[in-house]
Amino acid sequence: MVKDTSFGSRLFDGINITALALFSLVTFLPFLYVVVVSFSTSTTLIPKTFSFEAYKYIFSADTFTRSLRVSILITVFGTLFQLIMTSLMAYSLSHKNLPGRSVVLLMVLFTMLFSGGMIPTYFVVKATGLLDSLAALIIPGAISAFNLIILKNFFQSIPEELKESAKIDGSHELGVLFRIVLPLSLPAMAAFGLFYAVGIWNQYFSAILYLTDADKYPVQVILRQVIILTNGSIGDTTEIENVPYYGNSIKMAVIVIATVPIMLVYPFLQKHFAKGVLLGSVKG
Amino acid sequence: MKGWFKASRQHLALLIASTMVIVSACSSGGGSETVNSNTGNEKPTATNTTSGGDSGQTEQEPLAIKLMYNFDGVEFPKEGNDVQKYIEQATNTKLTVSALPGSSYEERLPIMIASDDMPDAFPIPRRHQKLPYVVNAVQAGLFWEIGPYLEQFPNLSAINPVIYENIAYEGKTYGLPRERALARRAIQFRSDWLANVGMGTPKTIDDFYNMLVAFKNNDPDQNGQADTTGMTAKEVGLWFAPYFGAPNQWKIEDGKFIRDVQTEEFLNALKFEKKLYDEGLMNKDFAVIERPEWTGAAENGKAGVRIDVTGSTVGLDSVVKENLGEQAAFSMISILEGEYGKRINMEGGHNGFFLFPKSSIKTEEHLLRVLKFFDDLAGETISNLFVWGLEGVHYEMKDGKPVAIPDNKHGDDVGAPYGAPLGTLAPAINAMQGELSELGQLEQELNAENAEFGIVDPTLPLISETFLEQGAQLETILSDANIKFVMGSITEEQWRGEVERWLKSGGSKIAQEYEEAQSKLNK
Amino acid sequence: MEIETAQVMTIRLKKEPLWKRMWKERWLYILMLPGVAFFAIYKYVPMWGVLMAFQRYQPHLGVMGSEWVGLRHFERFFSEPQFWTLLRNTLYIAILDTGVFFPLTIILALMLNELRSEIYKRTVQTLVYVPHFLSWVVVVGISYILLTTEGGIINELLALIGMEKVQFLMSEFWFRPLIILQMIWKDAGWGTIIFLAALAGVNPSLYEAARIDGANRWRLLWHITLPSIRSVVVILLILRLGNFIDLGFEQIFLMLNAMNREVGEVFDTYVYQVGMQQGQFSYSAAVGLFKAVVGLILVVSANWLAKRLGEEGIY
Repeated sequence: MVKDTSFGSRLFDGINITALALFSLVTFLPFLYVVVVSFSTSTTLIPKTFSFEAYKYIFSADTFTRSLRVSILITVFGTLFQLIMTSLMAYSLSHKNLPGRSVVLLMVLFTMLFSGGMIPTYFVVKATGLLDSLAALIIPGAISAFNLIILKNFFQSIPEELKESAKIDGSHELGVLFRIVLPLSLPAMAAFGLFYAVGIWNQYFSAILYLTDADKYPVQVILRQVIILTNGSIGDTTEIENVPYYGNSIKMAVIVIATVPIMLVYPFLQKHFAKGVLLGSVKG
Repeated sequence: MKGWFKASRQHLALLIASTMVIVSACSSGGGSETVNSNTGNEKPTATNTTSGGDSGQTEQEPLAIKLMYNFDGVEFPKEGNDVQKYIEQATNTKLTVSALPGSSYEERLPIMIASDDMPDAFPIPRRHQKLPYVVNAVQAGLFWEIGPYLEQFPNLSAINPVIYENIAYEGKTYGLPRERALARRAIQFRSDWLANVGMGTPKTIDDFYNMLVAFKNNDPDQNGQADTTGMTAKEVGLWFAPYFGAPNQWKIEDGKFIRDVQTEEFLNALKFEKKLYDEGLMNKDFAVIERPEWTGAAENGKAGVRIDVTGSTVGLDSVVKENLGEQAAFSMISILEGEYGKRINMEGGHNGFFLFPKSSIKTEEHLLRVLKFFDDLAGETISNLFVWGLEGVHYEMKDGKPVAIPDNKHGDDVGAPYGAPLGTLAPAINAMQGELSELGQLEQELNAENAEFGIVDPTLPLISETFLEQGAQLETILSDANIKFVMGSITEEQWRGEVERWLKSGGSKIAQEYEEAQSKLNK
Repeated sequence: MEIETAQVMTIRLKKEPLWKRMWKERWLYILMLPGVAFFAIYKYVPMWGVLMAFQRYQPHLGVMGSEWVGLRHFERFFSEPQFWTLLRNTLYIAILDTGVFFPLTIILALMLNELRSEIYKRTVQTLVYVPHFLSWVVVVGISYILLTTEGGIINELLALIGMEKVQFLMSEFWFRPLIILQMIWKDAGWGTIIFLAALAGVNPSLYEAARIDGANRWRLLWHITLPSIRSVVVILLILRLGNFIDLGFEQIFLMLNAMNREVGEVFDTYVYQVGMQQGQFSYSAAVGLFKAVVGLILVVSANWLAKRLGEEGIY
């Protein structure tokens, strides 16, 4: 690599590094605060003591372990399923000469703007037999129109010659997709995998809507419940006085437990964002 | 206005009388013995022949009941837990419970009604009582009118009739209310601070004001620092209004409905709050404060007064003791006397009410058995469970009185999953009396006294179409104006202008519709 | 002229009968089938819910049984006394969102891309994307702790340097800056991901070649980096326009109070309050339909414009 070592360039580096350091500090400190409070017992603004009380309380019942298991399960399988569904469709749509392509794209785009709403969707989920099954948290959101359109765009940017040459070698469409297109789109797949994973992990409303068996609730339902119980915010019915009181540290601990697993996904995907993973080597 | 007031007093006397009857009746037999006669000949199927053996009397097979309700705790107990088994045994039922987190329950209700996937009974949250989807479904006859059957059930009919009236639709009773105190507002104050500054329990509005001043200026915690404030406040304190003579939301004068903001008394109350704000006797961020900080100020010994409900003082007292030591203590009072005598706002007196869908309960017999289940829940056995828990687990008997076992998980095991959502007649009425703490005693006394001096919101059982459609945005006009006035960003003139705007945008139409609904009801 | 005719010629040459071309691509259609079925079943079948906007929808009667009211809900919506305030507030925040937040995510992505140290880059990336996982309730709670006049950290600092305390949370002036700052804080890092993915696809040999030609950093940025994310930026922008007047309802709702409602109330919060909280499904559906139509107009125009400018567009 040839390095640009001019003064202007170095100055830029300096400013860039400092600015990003400051920004990451600002974004991370509040989360650190959440973590610190979760390890304290005091109710004051600035925590003074250290303890595992909150975590002990949370894991004393098996709700959290169970709901975490559910969340991990649906996130792993759901992400795979949704990525496959999306790539198959995006790959077909990335062929600019496919007859009917723009009609399909327009129809997809349309669903981003218009939707039937919660009640009709509930009926469809019911009619397709998904009520009270974990699939209800995955299948009705199988393809995000947003992700599909952008992924299609990524696929399009892969040079035609590569696909053509593979076809000449006798590869089927599926072969082209799995042997050429997907490996070359790893950064995009990592990004959309992350989007889907986070989407599934964060959803609580479908769980509330489609599941009646509390054993199947993912961790977000529990998180929201704890936050609302302590905050008394949107839509609270909680006006009963003799419900157990959940302190701030427990709330924070629940936040930590419900967010850290999905946060950990990112560092593992990160290496795929490294510059020019495969493109360089193939195209050379 | 006067008429309502009187009516509520009569009801109270009735309530006390009927309560006493029930308590004495139950102490002899227990809830489950008051079986109504017509359940005996129900479903004479296989059950009778198989279970009929030696007992002579035919035992009924447990009734399968599907329930769905809000659950305001974290973990719902596992299927087959001891508490549920106990309930099923005592009521001869087999329960299927779907407990949705309270916050989500509301959102799911309309879908449940739309899809007709209704259980045998489910509660309508208090806030949804007059929402169109509920009103319309009730009016369309989707639910049983339970009023005519209630007299067969001693416990259900012991619920204060005022409450049944408050949840009636066009004068008919469909709902089974989850009873709670009718007037619960409480001024919670640090009694140890009060002693430190040499004052007694406040009785009047002036006393209250002086207490706040002393809490702010006279170093009530005696640590030599000016680090205390008067009151921790959240939202505008409309609870002041009755002390200044203002009505509870609405009053009827010569047949006309008049909103509180249209009275000078209300404005006087608002001016009092403004004075507290201006003099720094309450927090300046009352309009945006978050619940943990609001209550935290009282829990950490910063503020000496919090306005909440009678039921939360015991908890606050124990938290403050834990935080600051045994000397710290909270006490409370509900009514501050002024020139208008003793007055306090009454609420609906319930925390939502159960409805019984006709689609899942097909016959009258079935309905009676489901109602019987709720009646049993309100009987002695289950009331004891709801209040005390299971003997040996949550409480022990000492000298013939129940004593809670320290650090028991009553709230997690019983209170949140079963007691709070399923109790209809207040469980305390039929449960054993334990040794009450001073504060607990005070709580009961205040609740009883408040009901006596409570003033009613006459619009509770009435429906106004305009309010249904635009109520939320109209209420915002008023609540915003109140906050702005207290914070001094608008003058008295401008505040009156906002009230005028409210009237024009629909307020006066609402008044008129209430008037019509009222005259229809009186017919 | 000549070139044009040549293009027409090639297109003509390609033009086989439609069914033949379709048969040739049959495998692509088969691959597409699961996706199309998904959209048909889960997106288009429930589309009858749109009809609610023209009804007095009652859950227990269903769409078939509910009374038809024509355009009544739309008339009510457009004649709301606050309609113009709502429109103004919504547009204001939407423009801030698209004009400030969106470019900032691109700049942040470029800044990250310019970092030379791989470890530092990864660390920063991980840290800036953390807040995305905190819900708005938590973010607003943190804002309160920072900004309240009763012991809020920022106000304590102001007091320390002898300045007057500011009612940040209850001020018309500060409302919009706070909203946009919260957005940036929470989601700017998250928003970079898609650009980073696009940047990762750039062929490094392009940079090498340009450097050998003596290009400096700015030229590399201008001639290689930016063009490589251009099409993603365009697509994202078009899609964003579709949801132009959809603002993060929860955030704004939680930040609203009496003192800032005049500038803060937007369509989404209003509809939540009037429609959803009051159980007025039809009214919410009508407002939703209005927003969708506005979105559709914006998307179609933007797509048309993009194509005119030689971009690919969405369809």
